Amino acid sequence: MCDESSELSDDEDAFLDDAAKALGIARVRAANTVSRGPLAGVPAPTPVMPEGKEDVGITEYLDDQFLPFLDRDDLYVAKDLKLTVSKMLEALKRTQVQKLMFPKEEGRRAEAARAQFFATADTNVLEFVLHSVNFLRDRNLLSDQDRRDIEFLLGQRETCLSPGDLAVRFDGDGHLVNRFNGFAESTREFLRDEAGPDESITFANRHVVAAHAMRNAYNMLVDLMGANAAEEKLAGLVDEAIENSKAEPIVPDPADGRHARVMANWHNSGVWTKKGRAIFDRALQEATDKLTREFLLKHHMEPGWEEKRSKELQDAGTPPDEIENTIEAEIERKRKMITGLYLMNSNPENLWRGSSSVNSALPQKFNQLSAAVGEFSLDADDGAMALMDGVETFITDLIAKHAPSQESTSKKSSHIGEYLETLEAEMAELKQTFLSFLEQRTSEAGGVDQDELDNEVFALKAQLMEGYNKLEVDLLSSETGNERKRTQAREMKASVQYANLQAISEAMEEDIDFGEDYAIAMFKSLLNYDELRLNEDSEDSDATEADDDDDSDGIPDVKRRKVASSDEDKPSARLGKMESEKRKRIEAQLSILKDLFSDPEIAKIYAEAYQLGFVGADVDPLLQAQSDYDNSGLTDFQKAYAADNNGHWAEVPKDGNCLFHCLATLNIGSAKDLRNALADAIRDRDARIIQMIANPALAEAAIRKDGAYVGEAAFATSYSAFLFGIKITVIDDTNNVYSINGGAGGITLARAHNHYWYFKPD
Amino acid sequence: MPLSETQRAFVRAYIVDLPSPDLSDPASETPKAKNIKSFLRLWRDAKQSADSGLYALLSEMRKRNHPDFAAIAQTNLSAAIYGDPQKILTALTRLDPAADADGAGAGTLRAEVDAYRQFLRTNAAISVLEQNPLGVSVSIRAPLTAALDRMEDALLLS
Repeated sequence: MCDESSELSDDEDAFLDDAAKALGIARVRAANTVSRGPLAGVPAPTPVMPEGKEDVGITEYLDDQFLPFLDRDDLYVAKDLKLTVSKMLEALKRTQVQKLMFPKEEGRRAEAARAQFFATADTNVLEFVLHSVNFLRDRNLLSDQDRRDIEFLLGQRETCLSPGDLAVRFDGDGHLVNRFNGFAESTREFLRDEAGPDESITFANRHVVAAHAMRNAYNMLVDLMGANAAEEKLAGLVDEAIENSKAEPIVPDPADGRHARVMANWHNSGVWTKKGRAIFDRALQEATDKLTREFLLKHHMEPGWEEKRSKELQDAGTPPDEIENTIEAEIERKRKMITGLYLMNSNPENLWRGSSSVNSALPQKFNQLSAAVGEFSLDADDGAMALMDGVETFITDLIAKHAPSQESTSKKSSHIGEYLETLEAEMAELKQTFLSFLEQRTSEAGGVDQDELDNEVFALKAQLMEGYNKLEVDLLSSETGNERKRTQAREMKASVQYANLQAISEAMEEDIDFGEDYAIAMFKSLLNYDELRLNEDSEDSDATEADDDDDSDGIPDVKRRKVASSDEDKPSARLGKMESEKRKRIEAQLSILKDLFSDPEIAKIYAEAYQLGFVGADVDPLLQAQSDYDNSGLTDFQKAYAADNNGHWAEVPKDGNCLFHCLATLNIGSAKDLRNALADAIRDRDARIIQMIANPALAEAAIRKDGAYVGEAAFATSYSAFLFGIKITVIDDTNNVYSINGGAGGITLARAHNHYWYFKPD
Repeated sequence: MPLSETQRAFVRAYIVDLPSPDLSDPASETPKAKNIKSFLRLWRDAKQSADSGLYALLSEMRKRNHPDFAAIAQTNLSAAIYGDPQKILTALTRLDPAADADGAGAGTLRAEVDAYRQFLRTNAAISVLEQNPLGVSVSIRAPLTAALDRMEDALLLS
């Protein structure tokens, strides 16, 4: 702890200010009571916290010290603060401690879910925290403990997001600042820095995350404040959004409208391109659909509402013959509200233009989408994973609906052609996006970062689901008719969708998700789609056959179509070409690898490079090649260590022999041999390294040596990781998770304290 | 469970049987290895020089027993000060020593060196630490910049 009696000279105080600013950290203690600069000689305000209260949490302190000093207006704010700051912080802590301890079997999905959680914290929740923390700070009511808590929480966030995404720190004045000045600004940053003229898939991905963040924010509000308060927030969102759009308010409940401002900022930022805006709007729709549905179900359409309302009217003396009419009128009003809300949410252009027009197709679409979104069953703390579950459920339902019977497909819809075109365009866009993704994946040195890859696939899934939604709406909202060609087209889409969904479902059944295999499965399904679409365009016999099948038994021969499509030369040739190109790239990388590692000089040099902190896939050809190293002894080597644990994570004691416990846990009987072999080899390079591997405490001590990062431990850990073909994840005593696969091992280790080591085959 | 033959082959290839090269024999070095090793050694020496002053400063900070000094001492100063010299090494690994100094690889390397030199020149953290009021001599820019100069000279990039 600090020496309370220590005093700083002005030079030292200035140095600390400058150093904190340059390093992007906050001063732990306020500057000297005698300030520098223009305020020199002016005493600082009252101490940050009264003596003895330093370690009291915000909640207790608000009760004891904060509220009595506030006037009426501030009291309202204080209550809000108490509700936000304290509960947000508590919830964040609780979530981290309890809810983020995902079962180890969940692996990558858990990581994605965790990232989603922190994405949530980056938007709405963080906004509360920023505002509230600064409010407290301005009144010198931020205790050191609070500040440590906040810094801790922010630290957790930063480890789960790409560095620099959202740099939230205490500034030199002790204010918590987001250097992007809120999420709207960060969105603009994304657009400027990342989307570029081509509006990359990263751009789309960001906004899918943003949409999930919004959805999760609402759920978190429910969790934190209870449903009523959260719904008031949502009502405020709607209220202010409508106010902003100059439309007639349809939800009169007052609230702060914070979310609406965020939405308005996004849409009014003026930096959207047409395509970029469309992408974002799709993502936003997904989030707001959820919000809207939650709100409506809980506020207006809860089960038994009609009976309850009828009784209320009876009790109020309403004549029996008017009760039904009254309820119907109220239902109609609610339906209009639903329509308006959905219109607002699904088409922000209408909202911002203040349009009140209602498309007759939208209620049906809303109902379908609501039902679909409802299947997602999002949980407050685990949006991404729940979404995955929802996707699976949704797909299963779709398959169940479309596979056995298509008797309803004889219906006609005046919109079907437009919908199909939209779907085709989306599929084409998705396909192009995916091709770009694959190109990037295979052409960039070292491949795409795994998390990024996961997110790309996640984004693609979201886009695909959008197409499915529309397709289902098409099918179910179509009216009866006799337009044969449209029927054929619709049936074609149904069968194609079935094939696509079946492929994805199979991939999911094989637990292939968030990865290249899943993406390839998706791609294959798209190839099927493309091929079938070509057939449709040429009015080939396939469609006729499907129609004939339908005529005979009402069931399209989906299986036969799927098989037939897979037998087509064109998609298989294209896929073969893609795989051939990929194989060539892999072989090229392997050639580099073998060339370099056959040169002991180079091998030695790389060892030295690691020692100097030059770690990462950019440097190491082995790491570069590893991700695609699928046709060599290394794969067998990896599999040998993964097989006995079914690819699951293995927890090992933290007694300093983690690596070898891991080997033992993986049921490697010859772990000792391997240990010796590794030890001998690495000792030849640097005797210190083997100490690091054998004892993580030494590694940590080395990293903390003189407070500076030292590369040996990073090398040791990373080197072990790729030597054994495994991914090492460190979970510290605060359940923070750091993955080490060769890249940022040193930095991540430096942040870890009390190591629990998990090994997961990469 | 004994190691499979494949596993043993891997261990032999990458762990056990790697012969220790005679680094004192320049003739055994490939041109690329020579470049990389030369830079690594230059960099190691420069970084050690910079680290010596930095560590002394950090040690002095801890002695002050003050939370702000302690906070700075616990910061990952290495990232803030040294940035990402890895890009230089990456460029170096892609440099074709057989190509002339005006080749694309040389251009990339030159750009990375310039970028890193600019990073050093404008890095506020380095300025603050070098001008610390604790009486500790810290020199970070000079040795690192000199290392870059020497590497450029050696590779005829300048």
